[in-house]
Amino acid sequence: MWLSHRRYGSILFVKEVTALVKKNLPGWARKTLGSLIEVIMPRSDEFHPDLKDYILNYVDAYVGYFPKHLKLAFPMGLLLLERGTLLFMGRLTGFSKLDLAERDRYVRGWINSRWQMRRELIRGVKGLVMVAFYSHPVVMEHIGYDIKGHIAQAIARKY
Amino acid sequence: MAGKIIQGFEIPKGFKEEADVVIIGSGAGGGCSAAELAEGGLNVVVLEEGGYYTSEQFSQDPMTMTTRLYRDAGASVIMGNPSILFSEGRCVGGSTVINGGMCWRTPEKVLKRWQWEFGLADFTPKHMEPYFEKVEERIHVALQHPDTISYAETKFFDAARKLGYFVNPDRRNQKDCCGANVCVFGCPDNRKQSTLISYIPRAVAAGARVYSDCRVTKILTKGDRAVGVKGKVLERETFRKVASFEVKAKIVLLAAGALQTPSMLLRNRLANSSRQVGKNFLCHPNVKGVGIFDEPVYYWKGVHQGHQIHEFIDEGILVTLAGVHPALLSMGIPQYGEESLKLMEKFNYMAVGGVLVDDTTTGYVKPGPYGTTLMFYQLDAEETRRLIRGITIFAEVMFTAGAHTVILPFRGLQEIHGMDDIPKLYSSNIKPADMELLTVHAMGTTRMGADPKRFVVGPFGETYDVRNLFIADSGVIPTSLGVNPQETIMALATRTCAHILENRSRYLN
Repeated sequence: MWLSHRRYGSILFVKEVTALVKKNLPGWARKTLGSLIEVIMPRSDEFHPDLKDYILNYVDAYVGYFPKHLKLAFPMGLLLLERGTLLFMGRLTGFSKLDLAERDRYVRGWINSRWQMRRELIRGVKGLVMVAFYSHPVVMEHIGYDIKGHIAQAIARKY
Repeated sequence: MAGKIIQGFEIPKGFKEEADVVIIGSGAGGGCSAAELAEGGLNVVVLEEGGYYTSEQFSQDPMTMTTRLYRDAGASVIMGNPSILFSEGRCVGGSTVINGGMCWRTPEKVLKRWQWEFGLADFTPKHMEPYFEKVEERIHVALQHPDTISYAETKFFDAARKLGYFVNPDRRNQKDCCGANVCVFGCPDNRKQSTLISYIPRAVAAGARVYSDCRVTKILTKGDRAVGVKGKVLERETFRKVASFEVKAKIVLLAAGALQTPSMLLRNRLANSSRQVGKNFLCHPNVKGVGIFDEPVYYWKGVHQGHQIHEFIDEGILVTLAGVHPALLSMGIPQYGEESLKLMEKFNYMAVGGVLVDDTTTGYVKPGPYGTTLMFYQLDAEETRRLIRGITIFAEVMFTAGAHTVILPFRGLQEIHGMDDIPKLYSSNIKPADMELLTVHAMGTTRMGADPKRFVVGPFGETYDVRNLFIADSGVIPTSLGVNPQETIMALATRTCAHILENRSRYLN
């Protein structure tokens, strides 16, 4: 089932997030990040809204708020992820050119790596992807999290 | 004369101020000190690095609010293996704007330790009583109305009682809290009594000027005495310098938190003859767990935190439920991709809890490149044992409450399905690096004590090396507390301010 933002009335929300993006990451880093997002992004056969670009912009915007040393280190981590296929898989093909199943296997290798830096990069990106995904109105509605309705009800209650 | 809150964009280039006291930071320590000193008749200026936002500007969108209210948009990391995700506030009101509002007095056994190990002979429960009472009155510490407790919390409480555990209803700084459960993005209805709502308005009414978007870079000294600060006014979205400022004052009071205060002192090469500035970093490591039930329990439809299990406080373990946004929950558990969605589709069937442990080791803090602060902390074997034991207790409570599955914050063992599975927590050889850790408490980096050779500040918060330079944030807390530190910070700040006011002729002349 493909869900459009417009159908769920969240077009304004997505526009707001997109407007925040000043493209903190260079094009190649966005490409690698996009490929990683496809692996990490929550999905199921029944529910897979097309949120990749929204999440990519969200994460890119977030990078702008990182402390400077992390802002510099983040693209380097993505470069290692992209080119690390040679070192960790013995493949000449870059990460973003692998198919989804291969990327998933490769990312699992990073998550379970003995090298902390590899684990931390995936953990960091995973955290941001999760924040972006689960704060999208379509997803919140899907999992039954109606916080605005709850707040309105709670505030109106008298003690 | 009434004071005011002046935002960065209103500050002219090269502005200069003079005051009796300049306070750096407006959170639990700074906000409280500002009100105490201004109401005591002193001319007070408060400098806050973050922006000024009111509840009308609060929303429930994580990105909007973390970028507005949190340092590094909530993405600060304490380095170690594993690293620990750390969050603190950066806004007028500091972390009190984004915390859960839990208020506990410093435990008596902790005060006793301070007396014996740190020479803080006055710190008896009787001596501290009036400071705690004053703080509790100012920020309205109270129990929650039963109607604001979620169904999940009720199940948690009943199960803990059934197991015979000592479980306490939470004391929180709130007035008629309605259980909206968005504390971490700022209370939308001004019911949580953060310093933004409580102390800062009092300070302003008593004449204090609060400047937002102002980052202090230099502490000015003359001889062995602090005489003011210099810094830069930041553009709010980009954090770029747009102007500079200087505030001359007879007293400088640092309340920038246990990370920024030592970083500032180390950059300025001040108050460190003990070589303890930035050391003894404590952080109450936390892990999350999730109980999944057969029926909807709506843990988010009620107050952020309703109860704490205090049965294991003497073992250094605190167990609680904590309602958070699904986005924040999903960050703290290992699942991703299809597994994540499969799990989160049961969101309304979940009760999310946390385990906080007393530190048994310490880390350190030091200035990093580009004005950043670097934090280091390596979990030790005892803390690892406590975290596993804490999750064991959480799982026991959840299964007693009727959960069929408990999701764990460990890489190798991600879920268990009943009491019989609990031994797996011990047989799976879980290592520190397998844990998903987070924390919101930082303490101990400029600790208080009676010996200038071993401690940074004396019993009233004044640094041993620089006269009239005080510290009134969580950095002065000498040891791990085992409970939320907000009330301790405020009580210690109140005590420091009372000392300044009693000795004003000495400090102001």
